[in-house]
Amino acid sequence: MNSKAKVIGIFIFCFVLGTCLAVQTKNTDSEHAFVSAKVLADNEVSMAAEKEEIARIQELINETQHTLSLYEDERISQSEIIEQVEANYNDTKLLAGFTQVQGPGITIFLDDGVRDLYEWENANDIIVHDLDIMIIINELIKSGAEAISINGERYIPSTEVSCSGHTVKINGRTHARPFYINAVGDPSMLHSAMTIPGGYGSLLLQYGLIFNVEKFDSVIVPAYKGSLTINYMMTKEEVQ
Amino acid sequence: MFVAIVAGLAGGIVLGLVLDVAYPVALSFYITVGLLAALDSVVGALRSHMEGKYNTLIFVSGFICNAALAALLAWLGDKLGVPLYYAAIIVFGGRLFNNFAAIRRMVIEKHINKKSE
Repeated sequence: MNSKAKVIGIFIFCFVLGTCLAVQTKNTDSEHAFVSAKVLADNEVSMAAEKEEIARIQELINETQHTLSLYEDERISQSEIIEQVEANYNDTKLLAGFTQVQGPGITIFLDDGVRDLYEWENANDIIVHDLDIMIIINELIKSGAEAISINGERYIPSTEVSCSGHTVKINGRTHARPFYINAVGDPSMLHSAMTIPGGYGSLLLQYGLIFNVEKFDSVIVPAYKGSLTINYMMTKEEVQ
Repeated sequence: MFVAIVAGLAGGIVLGLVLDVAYPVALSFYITVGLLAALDSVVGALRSHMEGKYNTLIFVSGFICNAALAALLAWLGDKLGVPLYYAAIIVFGGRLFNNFAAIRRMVIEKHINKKSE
């Protein structure tokens, strides 16, 4: 082998070694950390979500500023202001659950099981409990339900579901089995949240309770029938 | 020969710094041990060249096989729970010093011989 080939050979290998050394040196400092494709994709998704959120908040700010400027505009007539306030009032009533609403959603039929008990088993295993209803309501809200009623009782923030023997007390009124839970929201989303394997619905079915979910184009959720009293809370100015 | 080694290393380092190559941190350890073996091969090549015994085939095979064996040893040690990479570090590190000492001696002898002539 002639000396030229020797020199070229050693040059090539030294070149490779130098490259590896430099790359390794760069890799050991934290600024050039390895990022896998999956992490990259995850970050992209969360970044897109954040951007969307920012855009939404910006829109909200613009809207509010627009309303504010309307109020501040002296040329606006009294009746228009009243109209605005009324629209606001109606929106608030709708959100608070004081109006009957209707929309796409699901109806859940929930009843005590009818299967035979084992010798060692307690009848509690196949009875609908207050906690079952609470968990179902929470799952529905998690899945984007906008209005929920249980046997015609509208679920609002002050709604309690308490155990009272073989019955359940909701909004201060006693209700017995079976339970019909109506929820307005994305029907397929709510339906899958209720029937997903490993979800609470399938657990109830495993225990032998009767649990049926049906999608509807239009579900009616009645208004809250009671009245709210305020005894303790009062508004507090937010310190900024 | 000496020029080729220095030029190759320098060019490679520049290329490595420019390139943006990244790999998982878990692999970095094996690569380091492999690099030590490769570095030993290069110094060994320099020594054998000065002794007039240099053979490209021996250098190339040593470069690749030693690096691979060192990385494999480190990996196997990880799997077995015994730090086998010590073997690679001690052997290649020791040889690195041996080769370097031999090169130094040869250079000094040449230099002193020239002076005394």
